[in-house]
Amino acid sequence: MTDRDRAPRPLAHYLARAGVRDRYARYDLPAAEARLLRTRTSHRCPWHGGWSDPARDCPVDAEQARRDLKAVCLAVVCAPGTAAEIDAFPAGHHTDPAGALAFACLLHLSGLREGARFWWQFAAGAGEARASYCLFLDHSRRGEHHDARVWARDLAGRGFRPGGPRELREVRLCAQAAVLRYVDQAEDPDLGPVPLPRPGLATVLPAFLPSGTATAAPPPRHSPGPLRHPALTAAARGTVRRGPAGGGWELAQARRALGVVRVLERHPLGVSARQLGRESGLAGPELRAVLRMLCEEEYAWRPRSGVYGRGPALDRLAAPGGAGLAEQLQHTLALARDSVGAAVYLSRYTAGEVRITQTAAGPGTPPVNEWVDFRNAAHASAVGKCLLTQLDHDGRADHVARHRPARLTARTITDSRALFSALDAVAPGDPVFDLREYSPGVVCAALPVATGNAVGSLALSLPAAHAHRLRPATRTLRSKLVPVLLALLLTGAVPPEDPAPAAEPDPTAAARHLRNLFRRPLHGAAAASTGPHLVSDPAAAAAYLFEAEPPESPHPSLALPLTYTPFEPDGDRLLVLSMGGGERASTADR
Amino acid sequence: MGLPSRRKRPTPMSQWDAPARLSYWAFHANRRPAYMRFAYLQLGSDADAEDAVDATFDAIMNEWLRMLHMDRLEAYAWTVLKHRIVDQQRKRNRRPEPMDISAFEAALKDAAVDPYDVLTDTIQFYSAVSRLAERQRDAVLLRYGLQCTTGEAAAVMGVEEATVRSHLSQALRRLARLLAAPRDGMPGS
Repeated sequence: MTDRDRAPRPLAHYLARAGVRDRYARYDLPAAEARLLRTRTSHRCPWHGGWSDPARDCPVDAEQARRDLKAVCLAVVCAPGTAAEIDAFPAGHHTDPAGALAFACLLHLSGLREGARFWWQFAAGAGEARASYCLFLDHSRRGEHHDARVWARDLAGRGFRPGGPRELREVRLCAQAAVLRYVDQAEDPDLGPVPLPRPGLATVLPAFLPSGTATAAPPPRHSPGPLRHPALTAAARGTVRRGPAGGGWELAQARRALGVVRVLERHPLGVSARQLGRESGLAGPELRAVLRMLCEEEYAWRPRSGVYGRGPALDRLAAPGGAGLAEQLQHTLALARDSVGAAVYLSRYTAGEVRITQTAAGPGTPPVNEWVDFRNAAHASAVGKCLLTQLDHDGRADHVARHRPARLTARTITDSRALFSALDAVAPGDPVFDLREYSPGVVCAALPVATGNAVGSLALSLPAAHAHRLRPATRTLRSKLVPVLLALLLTGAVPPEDPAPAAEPDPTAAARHLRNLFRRPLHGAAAASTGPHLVSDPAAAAAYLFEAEPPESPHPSLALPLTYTPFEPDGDRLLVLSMGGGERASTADR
Repeated sequence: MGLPSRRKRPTPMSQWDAPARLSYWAFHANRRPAYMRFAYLQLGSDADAEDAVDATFDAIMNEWLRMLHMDRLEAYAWTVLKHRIVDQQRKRNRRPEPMDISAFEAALKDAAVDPYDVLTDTIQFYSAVSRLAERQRDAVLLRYGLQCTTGEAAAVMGVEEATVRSHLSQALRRLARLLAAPRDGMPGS
């Protein structure tokens, strides 16, 4: 749609050209007045009394919507459990959708209409249907009928029908003023005003009650998982969310494991656990957990009790061209499949597409039948949704624009706004679930894999009959993020340190691995040997990796080398190296 | 509430007092052009725009005596217009993309510049506008499409001028991101 080749023009340029013709500069006003006096066809939406129903196919009159919204707000605010929800709302870091709904309704009744809309959007995104109804009414109230229709569809998708007693009464001014004393007005440049409650807000609630008794209301509902609006968290912290999405603990753990691996690499003949602890700076229990994982994943091996050496996984990873990484990840996935008891998938978002890069499935853990191409099902599959959560809004909108969300099962979210608000409700690093949205017989969960600037996910799928295992399985799967991240750290796909701009992979890490791997200089006839080789060029301080051509390639092809540029050469002349003759040879060199 | 009931039949205009009648026609004369231009951008046809705006003022006539008691008369009139535009879109049973209409209308405005270049720009701009929230979209259409001042746009929408400014600044921030355009050199409102 947008022409990407052209240099971006300033917005003022577009604005200057946006003006339209004035078609009605010479409009016949008297004729219009005459028509108005003649025609007496007044067609208005019939009012059925009671709540306006979003399912009815007619835009709701603004006045009617205004009254209904006030009645909903009064009902929510005067419900018996509301005081507890409002009290708990700040304590839960403003994440409880029921608390957000109650707070928004209180704001609306107090005249803070903009802030109310923000919190309704938050609660609706977290699955609170009454908040969607409030938004439907709020948009209708302002004549924003297109936006109102979006929420009407959202409500229709949930099968929501308004109900309960509808009571309208005036709110006392003193009650409104009391609320304003307990509200902090924060401001976000993108989201507009974001009011936040101060402690003690619940004490003003009795002022909203009618003089009689409170009306009965349904008990407070709780959301099934921890929910946080990422933009909101960022706004509250005054920071912009950036860097790898989530995976905080796992990434830290993987970095600890990386430290241990570095120590193992320094001691090719093995090292005692005590020495390892000293050099890596890890305490006993932490170190034991890391070592257990490293041994299981074959990064380390234990020649005898209390002694650890570098394991075969490190040599696998050092193979050029990503083949070793894939092999090691496959190994990790197989282990994950067995401990989780479900088919496990690794995926990436590359070139604007969802791609399942690796799968581990087995007879007891069948993979998902890809009845619709995963690339077209990002809105339905856990993998796709998890990848979309890690994109920014424009990236998501761009993806959805290219792949129209299709209804795959009765539970698929096909409305892109509803989808986005559902994605926004997922806290960074939290799992994303697909509860029979892609295929009626399958449930899935996906966890984000923080890989620098790339977007990835680790996911599992279970037959719907095993849905009760989904939560424990996801928990187990989360622990498997550590070896996956470790493999990515070791190959330089994720920067090993924790720098603020997590941008490019660390070139020196890759160069170091190449040097560990390519040790045998090639001379004369040996140069004809097939296989990858590395040319180290001291003049340019660079190394060129020539990969072996793919064996099944039908056409002859010229393979360009990969260049690694900060590279410390071994000698002072051009050197052609091939892979060292296995572990023995490489250790003997030292 | 002190408003006359909306359930009973509307009083015919012949029984209105003179100030009510005068104020109605003044409001009509004042708003008709802006409403027509806005409606045309949503409907893409002069006849449809005229029908929608006629229906709007017809409904307003029925409600006028009640509306005179409202503190936000313009805002209510605006919601009536938006309602009638949606009705008209449904009656025609087709959904021309309103933003395409705006893009072509903007490109046709001045023939001096290269029309294809202008059209590319306006299509880009209005497709970005279509991704805004509805009230931001309306504010942008009024301010940059119809080239109203912020004060005029606020009067048409029936909101405070500060509200329109904040809609516009949020919209421009988002448009700059959607168009990947640098925001400097922005004309002040």
